[in-house]
Amino acid sequence: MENKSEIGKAIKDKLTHLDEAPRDFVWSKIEKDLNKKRRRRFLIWFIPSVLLIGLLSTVAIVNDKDQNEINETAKAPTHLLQDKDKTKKQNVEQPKKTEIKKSNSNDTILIRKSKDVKLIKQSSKLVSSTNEYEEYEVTKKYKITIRKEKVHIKETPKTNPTKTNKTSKPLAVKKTSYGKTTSAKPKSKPKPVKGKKSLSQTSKKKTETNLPKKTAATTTPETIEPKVAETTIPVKTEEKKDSIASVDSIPVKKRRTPKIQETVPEKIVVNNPPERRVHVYYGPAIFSSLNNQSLIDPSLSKQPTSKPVSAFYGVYIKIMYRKTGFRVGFSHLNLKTSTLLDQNELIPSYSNIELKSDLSPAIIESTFANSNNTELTQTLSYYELPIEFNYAIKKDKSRFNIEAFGGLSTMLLQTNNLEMRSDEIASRSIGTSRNISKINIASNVGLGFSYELTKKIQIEINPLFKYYMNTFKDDNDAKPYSLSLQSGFSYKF
Amino acid sequence: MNLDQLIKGCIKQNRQAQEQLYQVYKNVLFAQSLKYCQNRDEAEDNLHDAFIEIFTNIKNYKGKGSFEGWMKRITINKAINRYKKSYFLTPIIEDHQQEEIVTDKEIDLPLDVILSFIQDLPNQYRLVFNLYELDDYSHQEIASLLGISESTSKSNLHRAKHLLKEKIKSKSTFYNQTKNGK
Repeated sequence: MENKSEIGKAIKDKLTHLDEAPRDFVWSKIEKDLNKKRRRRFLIWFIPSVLLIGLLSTVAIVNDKDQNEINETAKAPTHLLQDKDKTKKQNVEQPKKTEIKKSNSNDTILIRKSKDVKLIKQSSKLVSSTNEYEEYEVTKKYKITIRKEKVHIKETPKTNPTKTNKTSKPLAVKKTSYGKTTSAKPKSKPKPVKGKKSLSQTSKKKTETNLPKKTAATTTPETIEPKVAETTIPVKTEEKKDSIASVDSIPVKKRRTPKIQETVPEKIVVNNPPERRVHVYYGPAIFSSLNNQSLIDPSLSKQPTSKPVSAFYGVYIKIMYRKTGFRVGFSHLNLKTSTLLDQNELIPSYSNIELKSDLSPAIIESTFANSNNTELTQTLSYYELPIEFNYAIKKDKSRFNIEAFGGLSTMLLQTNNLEMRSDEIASRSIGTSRNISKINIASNVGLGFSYELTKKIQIEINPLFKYYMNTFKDDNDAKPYSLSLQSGFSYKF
Repeated sequence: MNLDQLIKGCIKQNRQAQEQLYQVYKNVLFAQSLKYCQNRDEAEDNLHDAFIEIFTNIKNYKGKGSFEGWMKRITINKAINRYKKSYFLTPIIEDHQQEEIVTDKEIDLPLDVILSFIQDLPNQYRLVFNLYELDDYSHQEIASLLGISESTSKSNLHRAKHLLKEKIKSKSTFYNQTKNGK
């Protein structure tokens, strides 16, 4: 008699002996995909690290360069240096090294003064402009250190003893002064030098004018820069005796000529520390795909979408070295996108949707079967760590400034939610998107418009474009981006 | 390496441990995939996806229940997700009839033939039949897993069995005739 069994049990018994092996390429494929994942994980950390290092290096280099420029500018205008008298103006030759012959009976001691000049502050302002001239008011502040050193003693055939005493005096100058130039007429000694006459008068006052001409000739080339030399040569011939006197003798007209402009550096070099600001902002953001592919599932790409406005807020610190700088911060970004579903086939594929445990496609279909305007809304929210490089497009003394900035953000997924709603049914969470990466990388480009309310406080608006590079775990054709407007204020500290 | 060491190695993304784990369980999980998928190629794809998921989420395995059972569930879920879409687009007929019985002689067919019968079933029938008959899921669990009602699950099971019986009977007649002819 034949044994009868229920078909399910019979097949199960049969299939317990099923022992098949997959082909070898399966492991190779698994291994390849695991390597890809590992590379992706590595890149997620590597790219921001490299960019951070790059950014910091750039800032360090820029800072170093700025410092060098400051030092160079400080060294360059030694000819602009004036002494302690406060009457001094710019663009007057001041020898960096002065040779003085000190005579004691038959011996002459040659003393060289070497000055260490450091420009502390400089600013220029256009006072008036005509067809012929532009008049600038330039203010500079220097710190001067003069070091004396004995060089050698030598014999000279004839020297005048009185000269020695006089010339050694100015060496006592230790510290600084500032002067207003060009537009400001000298107040303390308003006697311009007029030709040789005035020069000889000055010489007389200084007692000894019988210095050999040779001495003047040797000092001049060492101390005068070619451009300025044209305007100041007559003065320099007297400088070996007293540079202060010669300063007063510069004709004002001369200093107003365009040549003066050449000697005034265009860049205003301020030896200040970098500007540090803390910014707080809040603003709207919209989220979408550049190629209109659905961010939820490719099967929804043909459906119309809308871009609900969501919130973007955070704080960052910005450090600016003159025109360049960087900013780092922390923010919270909410992103939303809505898809209007086809009522005949609400969600064609659930392959990218992780439904809540108490829901099923059938329940969803039946719930929204008789609804109108059924929408599926995807909400993603991220914690963002941006690192951005700033460039000041407009940064001057006006209150309104413009900057451009760009960089990368590392974004940590906080919320991943899918909601459905219709005209009849209020919004209901149905689950999450399966293909969303926990860590996203975004590239940022934006503009910063700021207006200075007080010296320390600015209000600002920054339109910002973000392109998300690692939104999806698997390949997805969608190219997500967001546009936002950071609006807030900053405080200088 | 024992199983614990293998798991720890896999958590550390040790490639050697991963390969060893694959070698140990590939046949079991491939057999599982073969039953749930339509053909060998799809079964290999499913196996690939299942192992990627296993290696990615192995840190989440807390040691509750058997490790093999945990991997099997992942494999089954992968297969279900693969065919879920078509599942809900197919009309469901709810009819309940008596048990489908086969004789030992009828079922005496080569393993690959029986497997092909299962693979040829429509997706929705195959999933329910496999889950209920081969992997001992209840109709309630199946309903929850597939997002259908329990009665739909029962109906699908019955239809699957009915189709299998017809195929087995026709094939066994042909098969036995061929055998006797020889």
